[in-house]
Amino acid sequence: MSTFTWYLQGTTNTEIAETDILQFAGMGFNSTIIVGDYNKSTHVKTSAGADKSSANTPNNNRYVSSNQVSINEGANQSLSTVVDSEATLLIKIEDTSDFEVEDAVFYVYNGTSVATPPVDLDFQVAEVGDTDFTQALGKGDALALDDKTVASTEQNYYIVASLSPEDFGTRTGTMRFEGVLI
Amino acid sequence: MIYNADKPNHSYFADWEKPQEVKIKRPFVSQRGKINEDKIYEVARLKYQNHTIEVCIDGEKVWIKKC
Repeated sequence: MSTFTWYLQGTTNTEIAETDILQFAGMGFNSTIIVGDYNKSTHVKTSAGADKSSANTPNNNRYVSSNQVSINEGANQSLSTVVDSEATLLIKIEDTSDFEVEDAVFYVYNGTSVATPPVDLDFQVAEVGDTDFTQALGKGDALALDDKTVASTEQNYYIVASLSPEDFGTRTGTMRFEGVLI
Repeated sequence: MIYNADKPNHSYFADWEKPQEVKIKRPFVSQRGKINEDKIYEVARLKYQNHTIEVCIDGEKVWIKKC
């Protein structure tokens, strides 16, 4: 059986466990994002409300334009120049035997129906190496990820992720990663 | 269930002969560090010279689809 582990990358990676929340925030943990702006920090929040990533200097990826991003609030740069270690998300797949991955996709939905986007959220994602962001709202608009054609016991996906609230209040969605192991 | 040529009850369609390639595919869904068990089933992809079919196995259910 393969294992899937999600991390918020940073100086030290923080595991996003089954009961944790990946929080996109303003300037700090639990701070708000102005409607129409994008996240200025990213954190892992436990189900008890604790800042799990506080000691790990977590990465932040802020959407600037369809092909520009700010890493950790640095100068705007071309999305295509982002390297693996700068991405917000790392999804690691491990198995005891070598395997490949094909037809992998990544998107956010409302937590109930995979075709339905979350309410009042703009969610922009890209795989490291992409030149443009994808607005991955619902399975129909999912970000297509590269196939992993070199068989290995470990395959890693690095994903740049940023979001913006489109109205006031706490906004939530569920991120989903699908594909086929071979 | 994985195809095993050594077992007597595992056989390909005789007149199609042995496929050129057999791959076992495992669809997955993952959310926040866990596997969503509702989509864990196996697919055997059998590639022949002129066509490819997939045999899907989900517990006791088995179905075939043409690719």
